[in-house]
Amino acid sequence: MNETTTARTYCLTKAAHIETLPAFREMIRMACANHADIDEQTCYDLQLAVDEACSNIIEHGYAGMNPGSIMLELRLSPFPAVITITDFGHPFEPVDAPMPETEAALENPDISGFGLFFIYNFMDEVDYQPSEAGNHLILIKYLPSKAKADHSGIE
Amino acid sequence: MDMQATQRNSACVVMLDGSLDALNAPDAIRFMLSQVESGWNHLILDLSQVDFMSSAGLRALLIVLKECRYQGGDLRLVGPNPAIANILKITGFTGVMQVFDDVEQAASSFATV
Repeated sequence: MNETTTARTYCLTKAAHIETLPAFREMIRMACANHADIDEQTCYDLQLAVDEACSNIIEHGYAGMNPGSIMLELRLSPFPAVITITDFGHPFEPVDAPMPETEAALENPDISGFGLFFIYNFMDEVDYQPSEAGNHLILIKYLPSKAKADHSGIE
Repeated sequence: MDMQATQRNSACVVMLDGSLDALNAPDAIRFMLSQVESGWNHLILDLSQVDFMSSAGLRALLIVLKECRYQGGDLRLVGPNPAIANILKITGFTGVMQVFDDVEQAASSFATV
């Protein structure tokens, strides 16, 4: 049976509050459920990267100002998955960092830094484009091999 | 997030149900630390009903683990789903915390202390 998978775009805009994190993750989960090529681990990776990025925006991007909104867009073509997260706070670029030492983090959990590690470890590409029209964080995840193989036969 | 604590031999078993994220981690930390303050320094955290854990959840584990050990005990984990088990492994948490398949095994490990 030939399965045709078409590109789809999912969007969600919510206030930048910690209470909205589950809604962003749920949008990712529901989108993944519509695409048979995306396995549970990949879906979890996408949810984790979005959760960590949105948490940073809420904690740092909108620090000291009235919280605005976070716009989440997920484009799922057969491959890859492209996530764009837009906010209107202070530019806060998530920088690539080595994985924290767990023993050291045990001494001082407040500086653990695992969130940034998750974003860079679970995503294949990370780009940040701040502008007056909003700060755009672009996360790209190449999907498992089955999706890549199918892609070659799709217009 | 639903949280409950029960006694199992010499340990307190904390069961969390939901997502251990930045929203719920503060409540989970308070709940677990309250068990330690009540004298339960052998803590078992049952993750079998936790569907998601972020870096905020990992930070919660570190805070509670640190307090348990400060009180002469330990925090041990039970039943993480495959995705959570994966992040525990790649972050090195499995090198500083013991993870068991079920509560019975975790409780037995405290009995041999």
